[in-house]
Amino acid sequence: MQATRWWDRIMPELFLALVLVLVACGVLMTYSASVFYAQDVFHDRLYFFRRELLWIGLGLVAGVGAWRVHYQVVQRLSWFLLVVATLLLGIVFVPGVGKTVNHATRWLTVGGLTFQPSELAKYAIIIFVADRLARARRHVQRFFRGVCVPLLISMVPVTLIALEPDLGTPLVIVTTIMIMFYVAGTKLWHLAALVLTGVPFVVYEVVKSPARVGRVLAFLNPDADPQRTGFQIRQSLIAIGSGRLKGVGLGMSVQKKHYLPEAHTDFIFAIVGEELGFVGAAGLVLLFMALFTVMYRMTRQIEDMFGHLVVTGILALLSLQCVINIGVVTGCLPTKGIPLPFISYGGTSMVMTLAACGLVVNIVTNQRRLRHEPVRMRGREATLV
Amino acid sequence: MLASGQRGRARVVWMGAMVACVVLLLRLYDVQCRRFGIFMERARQQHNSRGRILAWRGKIYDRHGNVLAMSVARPGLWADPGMIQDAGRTARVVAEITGLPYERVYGRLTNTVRRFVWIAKQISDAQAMQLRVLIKRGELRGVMIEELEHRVYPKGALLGNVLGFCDARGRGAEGIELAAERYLGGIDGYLMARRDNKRRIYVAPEWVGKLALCEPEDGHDVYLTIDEYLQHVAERELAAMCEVVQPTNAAALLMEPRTGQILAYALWPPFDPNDRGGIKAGRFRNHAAIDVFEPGSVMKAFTGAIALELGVMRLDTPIYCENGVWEALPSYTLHDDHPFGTITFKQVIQYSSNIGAAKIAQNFDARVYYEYLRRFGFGERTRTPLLVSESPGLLRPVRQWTRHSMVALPMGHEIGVTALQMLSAMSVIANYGRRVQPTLVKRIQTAKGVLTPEARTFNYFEPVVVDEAVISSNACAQIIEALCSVTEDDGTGRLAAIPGYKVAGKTGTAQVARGGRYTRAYVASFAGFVPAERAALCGVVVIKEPRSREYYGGLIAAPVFQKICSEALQYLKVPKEGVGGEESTTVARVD
Repeated sequence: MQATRWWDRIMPELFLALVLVLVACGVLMTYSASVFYAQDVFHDRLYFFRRELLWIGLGLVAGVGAWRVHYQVVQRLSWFLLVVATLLLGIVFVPGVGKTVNHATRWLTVGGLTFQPSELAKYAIIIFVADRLARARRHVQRFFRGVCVPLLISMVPVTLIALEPDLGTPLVIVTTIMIMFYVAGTKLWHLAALVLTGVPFVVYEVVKSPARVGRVLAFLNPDADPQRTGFQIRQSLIAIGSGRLKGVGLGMSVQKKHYLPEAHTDFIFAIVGEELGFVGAAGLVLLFMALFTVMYRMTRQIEDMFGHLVVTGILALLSLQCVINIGVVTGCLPTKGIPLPFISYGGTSMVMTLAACGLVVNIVTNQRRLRHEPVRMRGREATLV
Repeated sequence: MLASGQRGRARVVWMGAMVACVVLLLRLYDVQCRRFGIFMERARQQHNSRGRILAWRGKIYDRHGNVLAMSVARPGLWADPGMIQDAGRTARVVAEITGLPYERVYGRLTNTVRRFVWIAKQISDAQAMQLRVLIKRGELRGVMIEELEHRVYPKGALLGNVLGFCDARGRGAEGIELAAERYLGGIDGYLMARRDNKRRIYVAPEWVGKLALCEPEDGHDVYLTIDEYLQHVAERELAAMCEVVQPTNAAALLMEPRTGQILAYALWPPFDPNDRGGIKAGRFRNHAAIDVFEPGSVMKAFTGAIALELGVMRLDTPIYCENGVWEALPSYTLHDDHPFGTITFKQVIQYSSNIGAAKIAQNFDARVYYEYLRRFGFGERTRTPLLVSESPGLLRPVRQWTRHSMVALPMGHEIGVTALQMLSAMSVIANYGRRVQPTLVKRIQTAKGVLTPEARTFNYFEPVVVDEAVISSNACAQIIEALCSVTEDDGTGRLAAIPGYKVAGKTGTAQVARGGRYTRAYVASFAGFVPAERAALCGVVVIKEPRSREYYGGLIAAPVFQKICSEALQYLKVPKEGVGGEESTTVARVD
């Protein structure tokens, strides 16, 4: 058992503080980035701001809920969660229920609010895989029982997401699963074999869609066709670059005035870079780094394999989304529609991320409670030592 | 319990995330702190808009303030293809209203590269009104109407070849419009603004009260020396003759010799700058200043004047004219239209004897002759302001002369002149030896009516005297007497005679040389001034290659001069001579 230092004790509190700071940044930047779009499309400057606040409210409820329920209850519900997520993903394809935006059917409309089942599926799959690996820990090093079975089951919702069509989210989920396998102790050559079999699928998925080929080409040469495929990345770099060191000032972005598409969702980081400059953008990256470090420090206090894998999985998922999103916005990666956790406008994403944070705190504090009881008993047990 | 090595592997995951984040930080540093220049530049290009505020182009007036050229605002139609939602429907509506072909409008609207395409640079007010209604209703997104400056010439073809015209951007392209561009053009103002990607302009907050707006400075107004009425008369009379004789082109110039101010500058065929569609480039050329021709017998006037100045001739000096055929040099035989025996110097001018003119020139040296011709202005540009690409004419230096030259030059061959040069040279005689630079510009003033400093370089206050005395006034008086006899009853220019005035002038009929040989095409000309002793008007009529049976300058050019000048003398109220005696003759002020 590892020695706990004093700062490890305040990690959950620090984690919550970081989450709240990030959420606050998100609210601010969502409002700033969306204000012109909201004014022009919905004739209401606060359209996205209000909705963002509503979703955060729901997210806080979900987060507190995920915190208060013991995580072992969640573990028992892992199958149930996976089935629910899969069903919801299936319902998306029912005509009249699913909502199609930009040729992709990803949303369900419930009472005026849209719900994105793939966001739920991300976390359901993490919980499911963690549960499978924790239960079958003796078989972890075996290829079929330890790796293939949980992987194949979780491929069902992943395939449904890929059919929406959406390539980014499945990639992120599969990579997260791989990382969880890796952390759980799967042999490296097992993983390598899986990755090698997966590569042709990804290549096929990219090549069969001219739009994706265009995005990859645009990534390789953003200036080739500035009006079409290279447009977003070009505009994004213009936004970030013109922010320079100190930025043009909060709310003063010009790129958000219809130059940069999706300025308040996937490309919100570009507006951060423009308005707050390198100071703000690098500050945000440092906040994320702090968040991940805190999460990592917290995993060190976890004794239970399920809890450890869930927290590592969430850490992997959040960091992957964060790195891919910022990588896309800064032109390091081909364009993929991955939201930036906490910052991008997106209802389901916000609710699920906050719920996941609640679950993380839940797991860690429950570990602590387990550990603190013996500490409190130490007075009696000391004589035994 | 955790599986073996699980903590270590979690650490690797965390390290991976940290490394990726550090890479992103480095990338941010690179984009925002090192290479920001190119992105700033791109941002500036697409955000900032330097909205031009067009300056009004100056007007062109005649000497009395009648407008010859002015600018008006006309609606033009353009589109932003990036904002078009239904190109097919929009194109159909626009095509229906403007009457343009649907395919062309559709092609413009679906341009994927540009964000500014012209649909029609000019539409009518009625069309603009219909389109404005639709645009206001939001039915034609991306289609916009803008007021454009459009140059109009209210007098139509009057002075058209000289005025020139403007190009599509409203800059002078030809004629005075081009030559006076720096006065007429004005300086455009600008409004620095930012625009969003829907092309809506807003003034950036940090620019308010700074350099956001620069007012345009309208172009100056140019007043020409042309008199609209005399111009009209000249064009009318020239056209009337040209209708009959069908020349390739013709010119009639009228100048006030004392000041050098050109009163009429008529060119044929006429050209209307308002409607230049389908007109060949040669049609709007100012050929009176550009095209060079051999003046023929008009040259005898200057040869004679030089002879009188040198004192080698008097008006009554007898000259033997060889009865019409003279072998001046071996294999170079001169002919006269009418055979003459021994006649006086004055009669050589009066009857326009080639042999006589050649014999007069035998009495002086080629170098001296050349010097005098240069002083008359041959072989150099008149430097008339606001004429573009004026030709210096063709007068070879003496060392290039052949032995033929002293025979050919006195009767107007081996020399190329422009109509303008001929006018300038003839006015030297009318001015008793003083050579004045011809001018078209009376004054240039700003839109507010203030005389511009540059305008002072023009001879607004005083005529520019190029040469105070080309020849003496005594020699001039004698040659004027000889030139007056040209328009008398048996002179070659008798059709130029104006009742009540003494007209001095000289006819000219020269064969056109092409490819080194003289052809059967002719240039008929007449240069003269009236009243002879105190000239108020000096005029030149040149008719090139008439297709009629008559081609003599005395028969087709002189009558045009007579008609223009008789009307001009009345218009200028120049008193008749002989009625009230010499003393009452005064030169009317033209302005």
